Amino acid sequence: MTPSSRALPSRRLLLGSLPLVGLALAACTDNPGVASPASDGGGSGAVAVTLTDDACELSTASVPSGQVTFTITNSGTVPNEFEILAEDKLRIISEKENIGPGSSVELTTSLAEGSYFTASKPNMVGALVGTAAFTVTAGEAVEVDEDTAALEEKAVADYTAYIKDQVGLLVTSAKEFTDAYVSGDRELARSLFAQGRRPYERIEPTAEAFGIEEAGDLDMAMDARVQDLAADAGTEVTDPSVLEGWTGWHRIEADLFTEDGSPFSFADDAARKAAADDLNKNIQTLYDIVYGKRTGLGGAAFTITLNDVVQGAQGLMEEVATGKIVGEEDTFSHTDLDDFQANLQGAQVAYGNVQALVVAKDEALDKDISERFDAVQAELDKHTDGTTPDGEPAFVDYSTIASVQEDAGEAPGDDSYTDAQRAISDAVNALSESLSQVAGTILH
Amino acid sequence: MDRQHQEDVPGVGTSADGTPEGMRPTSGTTPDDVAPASASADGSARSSGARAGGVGRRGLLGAAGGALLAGGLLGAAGMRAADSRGGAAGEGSADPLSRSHPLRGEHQSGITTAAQDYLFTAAFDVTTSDLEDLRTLMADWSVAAEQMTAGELVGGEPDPNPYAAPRDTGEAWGYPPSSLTITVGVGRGIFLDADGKDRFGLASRITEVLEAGMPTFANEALQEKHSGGDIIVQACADDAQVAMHAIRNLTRIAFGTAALRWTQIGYGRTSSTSTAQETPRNLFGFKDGTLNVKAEDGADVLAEHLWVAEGDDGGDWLSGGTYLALRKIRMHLEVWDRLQLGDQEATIGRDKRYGAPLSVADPSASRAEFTAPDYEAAEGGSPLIPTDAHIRLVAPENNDGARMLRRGYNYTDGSDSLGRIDGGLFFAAFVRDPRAGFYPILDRMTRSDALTEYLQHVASGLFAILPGIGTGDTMFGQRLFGVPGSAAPGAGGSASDGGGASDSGA
Repeated sequence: MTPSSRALPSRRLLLGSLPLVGLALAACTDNPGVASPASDGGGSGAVAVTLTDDACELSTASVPSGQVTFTITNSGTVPNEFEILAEDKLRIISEKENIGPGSSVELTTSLAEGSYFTASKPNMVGALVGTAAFTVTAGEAVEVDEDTAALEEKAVADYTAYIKDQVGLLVTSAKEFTDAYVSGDRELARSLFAQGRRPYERIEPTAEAFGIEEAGDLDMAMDARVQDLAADAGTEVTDPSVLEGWTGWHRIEADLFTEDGSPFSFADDAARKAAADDLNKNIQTLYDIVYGKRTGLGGAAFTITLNDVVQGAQGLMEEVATGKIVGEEDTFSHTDLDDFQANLQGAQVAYGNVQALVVAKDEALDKDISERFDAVQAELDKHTDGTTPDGEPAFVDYSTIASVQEDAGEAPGDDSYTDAQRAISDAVNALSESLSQVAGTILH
Repeated sequence: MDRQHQEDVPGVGTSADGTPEGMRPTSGTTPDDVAPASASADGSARSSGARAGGVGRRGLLGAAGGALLAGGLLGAAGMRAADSRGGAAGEGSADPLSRSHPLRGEHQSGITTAAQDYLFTAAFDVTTSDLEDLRTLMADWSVAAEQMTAGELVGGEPDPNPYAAPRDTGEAWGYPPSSLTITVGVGRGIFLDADGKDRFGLASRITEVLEAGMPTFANEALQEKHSGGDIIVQACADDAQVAMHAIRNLTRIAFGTAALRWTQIGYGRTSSTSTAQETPRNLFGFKDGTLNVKAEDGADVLAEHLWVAEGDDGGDWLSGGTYLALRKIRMHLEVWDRLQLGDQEATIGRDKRYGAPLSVADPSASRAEFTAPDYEAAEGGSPLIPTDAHIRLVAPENNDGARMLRRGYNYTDGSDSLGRIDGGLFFAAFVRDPRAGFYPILDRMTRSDALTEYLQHVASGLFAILPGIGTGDTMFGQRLFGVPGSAAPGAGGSASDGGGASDSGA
């Protein structure tokens, strides 16, 4: 994959339209078959399931709605699978795979009133065996749904508040950075670059979501990379026509972190001030949109759906995988690890907001995700170096531990990534793979 | 649930124009529409249209199968053993694309199984430090492998939930099983870490062969990044995309527990299960590794040379398994192509056209290939098969009877920066004890073989291939990874103790 060809369009495809399209919260969540959070709503007791190689027998064919625990015993000779299917016999409500012969396992799930089917699948292949109707009668499921709905609303509300909080921080952190930059104190400005961007990197997918048309694309305006602009224009990164149209964080980074007189240097301090003002103006626009003082493109108000929260976590880790690990994001300053840390923090917050919903459905998935967040953080912690001026951990120059793209030059060859990059990449892949299961777990 | 099976088109035994069946292209959607000289339409370039209807080149060769294909010394015997496994309904199917091989059995498939057209092998490094994760991986892989070899999606039924990332990646959706086999083995790193310390509590189970590792050989220039690994997965299929799908999905399942170290794609399977058929050619254009074991040697030969026995080192977990020695051998193709025909033949020890040993005077038919080489034959004091000819150096009769089952594939990894084709042989030997059955031969070859001048060994690997998954087993390597004393003796761990059950609340 080439760094130049994927960048912005694909990012927008991932997350772009969601908040604007504004999928109504209810549309994502009105699934009657959802499990309950760890409340004790329901509690309809246990069902014994006996699997053999050619049968699947339940101790009862009907239970009241709520939490149901199936105790599944495989009395057959081959590994088997137990499935609870929706009325269409297609959608799997819950399942337990690979139950060894002679062993017994429990499956606890929350079932709403309705008609279901139960079945087994010896060796996890071929046709269902012992398919039988299973009825869930009215029980305490109403409470279950209410609990879930409350958690979903809270997830959205908390994440919305977080975004507002970070955008508020961004206004001041960016101002602090650009003030130093405009004052001509380049050393101070360099030290403030990473921390100035941090709030933005924590919520980047949200900002990206406001860029549907090129002209109003805030992420484009604030965070475009010259490699992508040059590739779109079919020319060199140092082509004046490309540089003229380039604004935002990385435009200032290029001026600040290259020698005076480099192709990326601004002509004079007036140009520097203009770039700083432009960045602050766009950040203010983002602030105004997020705080409801104005609408985004097409008159859309800032809204967040539950899906946005989920995709926020995933999208941030994708940012890490595509931009940071390969050292293309901060090609002049090599502060990629600082951005990476901010992306990770943002993803953790987004996931934290839906965590209770995940726990209610699939505790093992939550355990995996939590462990894998820790594993990524542990990889990052190996590369800290002092603190940024605001007291947060600072990171080493990424080019000292990684093969990176220098000054928007040639991208590292596929074979040249370092062991440190590999370790980070493995940890991120593990986390991202687990995070990709969250949406399907809590949204239907 | 079951993928749609394609319409079976009966294979055509011989082509009207006399083109060898193995060389015939598949063209478009009309299997009978043979376009003789159009190599570009062959094999790897098949369109999905061809997939839907065409049997083409596989009609004859694939139907018979062929463990000999990559020049397996034990080829014919291997074929018979594969037949005796019985198993899945589709196994005996005439069309290799609709054929499926059972995952379960005494031995894993993909060893004596009639070799398929395509190979995708992947080596993984384990990234977890928790044996429980490894156990779960072996269980989850067994489920996915059983589904994929049966031609089903990973996870069985697709989940219609539009918010869920699909569990199966989808590129083989609707494709027939295509003779897919998935064969799993473990390397030294499952037992010992780089410092030789116990890594997962399994150190006491390591075998001497794995602990010692493969010795070094003359003239090798091994690339660390493309060698070794903690786990090996060999996927073979008669459709390249089906093999790719298998490795991709197993890789995805492994994230967090194991990560890809290197992969290799191979092609160039042709087969020969009887003397009437063509033996495969390597990229030097020679029929390599022609039959050396008579079919009637059969099961005894396999037991003696291929399968680890209960009494062998590590037999408690490895009996029914075997070792896999891998060598990626780059061929200097451009240099070779400029050699005089006589020099090429003297280097190999066979004639190029028919594959007959040079001890056969004036070969005139393909069957001459199967004439036993006469290493004593001489003319004017010089042996007809030169003393440094490849076939002389590697022949079992010249190596104390040492034998192995070879199952290699040709490979091409694009071209290098000098414009040379980066290709060669991805050599794979399955052997009961590589110290007796493989290293001595490789040693002779790398030191004395005339062919070595045109070869460069660039990567290497040594793995213990796990025994077959038993009827009641819930994971690959149940006897190595399973929980001792679990609820089902000999039949695998229970789900609750990590025997592999996984639930997906939906």
